[in-house]
Amino acid sequence: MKRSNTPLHRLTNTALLTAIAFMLSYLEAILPFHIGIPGVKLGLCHVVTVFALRRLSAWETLAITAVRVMLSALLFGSVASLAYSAAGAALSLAVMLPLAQIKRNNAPVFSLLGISIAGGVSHNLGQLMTAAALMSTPSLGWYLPILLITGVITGGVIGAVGALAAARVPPRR
Amino acid sequence: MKVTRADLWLTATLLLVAVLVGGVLLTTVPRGSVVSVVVNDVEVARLPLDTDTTYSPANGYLFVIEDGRAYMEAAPCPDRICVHTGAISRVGETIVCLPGHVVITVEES
Repeated sequence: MKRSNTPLHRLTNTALLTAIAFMLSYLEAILPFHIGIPGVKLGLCHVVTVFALRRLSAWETLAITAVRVMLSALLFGSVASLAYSAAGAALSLAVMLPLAQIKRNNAPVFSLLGISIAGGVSHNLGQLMTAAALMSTPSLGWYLPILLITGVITGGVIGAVGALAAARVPPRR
Repeated sequence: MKVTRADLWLTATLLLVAVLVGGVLLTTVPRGSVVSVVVNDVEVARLPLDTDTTYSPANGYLFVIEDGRAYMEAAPCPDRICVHTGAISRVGETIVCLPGHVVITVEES
């Protein structure tokens, strides 16, 4: 019987997911989505992150995100966009990965939806803090309520999609 | 996928914080008296909010002060986020155009 959990299989799956995340990131970059508030984004690529949180190990999730951030910035970003993207991704992973581990009576306390909401909010917060640091305009407090709310909404939507994908995509045989 | 109680508490807390922060900002932050226009990290103008004016910080931009509020009427950038931002009037509020390196901030004096 063929084993499909070899390192090569895992590597290929991880690479495939990285490619998907990158394409989603590119798709979002070319689709206009402005609500008039700078920084409000869909975060499509985080569908892959949510999927990976459920189906892959933490290291693989980290690797996918790191490579996707670098690829996106290299191919259609700037140094500034790299900073924002990296900060958002770093903070959201720093929040999501531990949250996924919290268990009570051996069952996870947060569902993928809640984790994704937390991730969406912390992603926005990371980007807001980067903006404050880079633009030397410390008066960004006005963005806080808006980014909190949009973080919850986009995190919820992306989390729902990611959770559906994680449940429906058949596991490796 | 089951939505857990922890999820609901988390979401409710986040939304509550958002509403509280927004409420505090709206009630405590006063209207500013002057608007600072910065292009490429260089302040190019300080305009009083109580005087109706129009100003062009850079090519293609039209910035308007009217009735104590300030907004970007027109801009040449692709997304026009600075235009969609609407009017600002309270201290700390900003209109930003990243592609044009334009940052407009409301200040106290």
